[in-house]
Amino acid sequence: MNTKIHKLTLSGMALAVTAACSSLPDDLPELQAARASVSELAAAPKGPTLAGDELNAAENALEDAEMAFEEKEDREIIEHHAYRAERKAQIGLERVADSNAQAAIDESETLRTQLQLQSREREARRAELAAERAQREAARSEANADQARAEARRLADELDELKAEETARGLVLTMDSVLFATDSAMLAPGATMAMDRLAAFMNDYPDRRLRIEGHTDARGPDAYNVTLSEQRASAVQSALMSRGIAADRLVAIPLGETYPVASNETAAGRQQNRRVEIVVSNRSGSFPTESRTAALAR
Amino acid sequence: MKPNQTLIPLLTATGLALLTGCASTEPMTGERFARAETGIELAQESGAANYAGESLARAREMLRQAEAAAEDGDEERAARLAERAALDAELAAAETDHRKTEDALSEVNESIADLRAELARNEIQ
Repeated sequence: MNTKIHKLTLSGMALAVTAACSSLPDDLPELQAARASVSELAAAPKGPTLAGDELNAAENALEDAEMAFEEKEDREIIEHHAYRAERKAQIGLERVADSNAQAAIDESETLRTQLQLQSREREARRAELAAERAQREAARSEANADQARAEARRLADELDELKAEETARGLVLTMDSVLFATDSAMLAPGATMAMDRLAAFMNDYPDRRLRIEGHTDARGPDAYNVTLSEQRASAVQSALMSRGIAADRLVAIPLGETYPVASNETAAGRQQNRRVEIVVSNRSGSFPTESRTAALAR
Repeated sequence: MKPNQTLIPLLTATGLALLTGCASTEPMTGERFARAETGIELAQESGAANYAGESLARAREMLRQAEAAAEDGDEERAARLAERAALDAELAAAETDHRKTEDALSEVNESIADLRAELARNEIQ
């Protein structure tokens, strides 16, 4: 209030007052700032479209400021209009920037959706490939299992033909004394087929080894029986070797009368005891138990 | 607006102002105060305190000065300052909107970058 009254009383001495006080400079910084902001908004791409109201208001305010400046009104008045102009222009610029950012969001969201789709497709493809791979694996395992089963059947069939028995010592083929002539270590003609079959088995299953155990009945001296049993075991060994089975796959063990399977009192029992037992190794070539210590292995 | 035109209404208004204890009685000025107050409230509610602190603070300061001017009986000045307060509040609101949009834009762009990195990592062999 005081300022206003002060100015009023001095109005009469305007010239003197203006001469004494500093006059308005050629230009005011706030006016320049206002002009700059308004120009910026007017020049902004789509500025007039996006912030038309603000631009109009800013331009009008700037006009008021310029006019006030020319008419040398109070600085406060000029400043006020300039302030209005600048603020309106700034508000307009914020709206334009906001609008541009919204448009950028739309674009980015579209791109994001595309990438999400791509990512999902890739995931699906990977899952597909993994499933295919798993399927192939399963098929392979099944084929392997089938093969293993078939082999096991073949083995069982062969062993069946050889009349092999599953015992605590493993698979045992018993060749009875009929295949040897009495008191002789020579293989009887009937033994040929058995030897052929055994050799064929050994060829089919190259990892297997044989332990050929010779046994006799209790008739006659022990030493004599040991020798006989050794000769019989050797006979089998030779028969197999002559059919192409490697020597290191065969071991002949003479066990004499030590392990009878029947009573030696009867003729029938004695006949049973006169035998060669062939123990078949497992797949890795070893024998389940070292059941009978090789007494006189050669 | 020449000073002597407002002097007489000013002198009468001053008396009234002293009686009421605060704002002006001129309808235009009253309207401006209302607009400033509303504007500040709206800006505040939209989060201007976080996004446009400077402009919001200036708006409040202008309003405070306007109220002081009104109490002093300077109707004209009060009206001008109230108008400034309203403009600053409007700017605060506009800045807030803009900056929120920029934040949202950054978020989307970040997720794009993440997706791109993921796709690059998981190249199908």
